[in-house]
Amino acid sequence: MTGISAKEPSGLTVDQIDNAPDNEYIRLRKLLLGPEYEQAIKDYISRQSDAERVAAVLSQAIEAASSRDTALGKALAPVLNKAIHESISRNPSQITTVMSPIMGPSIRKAVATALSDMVQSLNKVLEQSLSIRGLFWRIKAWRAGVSYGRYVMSQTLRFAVEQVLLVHRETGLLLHSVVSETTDTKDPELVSSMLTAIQDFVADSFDTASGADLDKVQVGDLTLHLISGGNSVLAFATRGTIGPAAMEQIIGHYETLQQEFTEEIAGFSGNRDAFNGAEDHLKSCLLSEQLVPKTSRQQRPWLAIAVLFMLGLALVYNGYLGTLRTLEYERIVEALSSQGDYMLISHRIEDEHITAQMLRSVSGIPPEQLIRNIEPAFYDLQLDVRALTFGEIDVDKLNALELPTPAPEPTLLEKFNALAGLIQSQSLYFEKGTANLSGQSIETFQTLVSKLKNVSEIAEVLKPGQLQIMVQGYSDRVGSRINNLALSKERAEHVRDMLISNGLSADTVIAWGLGYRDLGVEDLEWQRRVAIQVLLPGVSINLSNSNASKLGMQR
Amino acid sequence: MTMPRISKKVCMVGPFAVGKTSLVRRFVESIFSDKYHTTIGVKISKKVIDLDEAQMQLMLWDIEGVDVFTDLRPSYLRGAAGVMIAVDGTRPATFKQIDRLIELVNQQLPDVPKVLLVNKFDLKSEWKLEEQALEEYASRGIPVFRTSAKTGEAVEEAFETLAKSIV
Ligand SMILES: Nc1nc2c(ncn2[C@@H]2O[C@H](COP(=O)(O)OP(=O)(O)OP(=O)(O)O)[C@@H](O)[C@H]2O)c(=O)[nH]1
Ligand SMILES: [Mg+2]
Repeated sequence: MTGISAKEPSGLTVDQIDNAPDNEYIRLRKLLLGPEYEQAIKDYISRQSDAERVAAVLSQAIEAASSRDTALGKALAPVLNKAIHESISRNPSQITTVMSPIMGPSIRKAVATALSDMVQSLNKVLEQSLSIRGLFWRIKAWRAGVSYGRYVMSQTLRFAVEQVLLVHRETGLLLHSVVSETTDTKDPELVSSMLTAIQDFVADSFDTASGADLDKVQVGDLTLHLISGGNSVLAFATRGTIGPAAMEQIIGHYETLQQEFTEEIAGFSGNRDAFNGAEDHLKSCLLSEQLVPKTSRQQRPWLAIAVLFMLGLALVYNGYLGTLRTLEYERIVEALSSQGDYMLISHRIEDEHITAQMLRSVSGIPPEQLIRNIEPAFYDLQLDVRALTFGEIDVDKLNALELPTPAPEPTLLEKFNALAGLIQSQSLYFEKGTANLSGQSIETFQTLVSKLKNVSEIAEVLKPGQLQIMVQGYSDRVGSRINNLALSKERAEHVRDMLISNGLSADTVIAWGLGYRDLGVEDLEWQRRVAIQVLLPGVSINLSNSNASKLGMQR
Repeated sequence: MTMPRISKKVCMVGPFAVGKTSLVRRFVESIFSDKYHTTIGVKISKKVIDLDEAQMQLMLWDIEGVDVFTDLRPSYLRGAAGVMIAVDGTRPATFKQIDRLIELVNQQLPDVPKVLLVNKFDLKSEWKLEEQALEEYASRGIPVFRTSAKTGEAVEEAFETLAKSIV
């Protein structure tokens, strides 16, 4: 026995199998097949990996499976879809480079048969998703930047009207509404009111003369069309692209309805029963149109190939740029109308310029950024944007976000302290032996009055009713103590009376005389004075000013 | 689908942050929040109320508060059958707007039934009101309600009074 270390599927070596006393079946097999069996296994195992072995029979297996039923196709469809999608989005140019040589005339004949078989069977089993048409759509959808599903929908279902609302123009109240059977109803009353509000907003915001009447609103996949007719508005929601013929039909129904209900609409005051009779007219507006395939299902594969070929040519050759331009225009409009925080009102294209009128909600990105995100390559995109949100915004967030930080304003307390310091630094001086203000101090008094008024206003905000203005009178050192005390009191009371007669509240001013105080200043003139101090209980007065010591405040 | 027979548009106007949205929310959803979300544009809600004989569907237009930057957009008022003017009992500055608002409303909607809501009654210790001035509005045919969106006080009553006056 040669020792073969390779393993049988059972996990045992051939030797082990040989020696396994219980394995009757294996021993029998060996007896019957003899040494060729060993050789066969040896060859088989050493020659091929698992993958190679599967590969050898894969194509036959696929063929057999796909001719039996459609199960394989169904199983493969999503995988293929993904693969194609992945490949195209990873390297868009690949598809064109791959296609053009394949389609090149020299090898066309050679691959045509193979391709035709492939297309035929794929068409059969993968249905639309990988048909030539599907592939074409996939490319178009990718170029236009929309989802494949949405593109397919827009191509197979031309359109469907899902909901029709008859709205009273003036109040925005709903007169009547109908929905198609397949639609889940939103709250039609709210929709109709919101529509009116938005319409008014648009009319107010944009110059209506410029033709920016709101006649369409994009709401996700739905387009809401608005037709205004005198006192009412017909609003209908469509999926897909509605054609001019259907549009005309709807307008026709609406006109008949208007004629029949002229009086009811004009005299509407909230009673909606009058519009039950409009049901039939509105129901006639629930149109839909299935897209009929242009050719029968058994289209010849070569037709598909030709399309593919043309597409390849178109992309690679002359049509390429033009196609891109059209696609880009579609892409831009699509991008503008699918912005969550923006609403596209109208758009216009002129040569290289696209101008769009839009409403923007407060939470929307700035328009410049929107343009940057869209990255227009062939066009100059201009947005005429007005702000709009119907709803609410968090004030805290708004404050945190939008308001530029203002230059720091001094707080009231700081203002108070600053003024208090100034007031205390300005004494009033007196003529010798009298309570008459000296000439210059009459001026000083006026500025003090205005500062004191100022300070009272601030104090009223900080601590209402608690300000104290203390007027302290002094005399010079000449004369008796008793006389000096009396004179200083007289000076203080005189200033107090002047303050009150200049408008300061009598309740806040307190005056008293302190006679002569030795503060180390020899100047007699300086000694004959009145000093004013303002106090607000609980509010610290910050006298950084060195005058404070000179003032002789004793606290 | 049973549709109430009568449908009416009612607008809520007033200075900013007086509690217009809170009042509507209290009335429609019976809830209150302390958080301030300022209204931009208009927010529309719906409530069906039972009157003596009939049901009435109110479409409530809660309009953005007026301030120095935003004045009342007249088109929002169009076709309204009733108007609520709301002010804040704790902010005397908001009372000063009442007359101007009444005038604006009257220009757009002559003789439209109105009610005046002085809101935040739960903070009445902080109220700075001249009761006499309020009485004057009442005597001019504008019922005055001291409401609280927070506690719900007088909210239902105010809406019902307005609804009855517009039947
Ligand atoms: N204490 C108290 N606070 C209230 C009351 N009503 C509203 N508020 C508060 O006041 C703030 C503003 O309320 P909103 O309802 O948003 O005011 P608004 O009038 O709609 O404001 P705008 O939409 O900006 O005009 C919020 O913080 C509310 O919580 C009330 O009755 N009592
Ligand atoms: Mg609000």
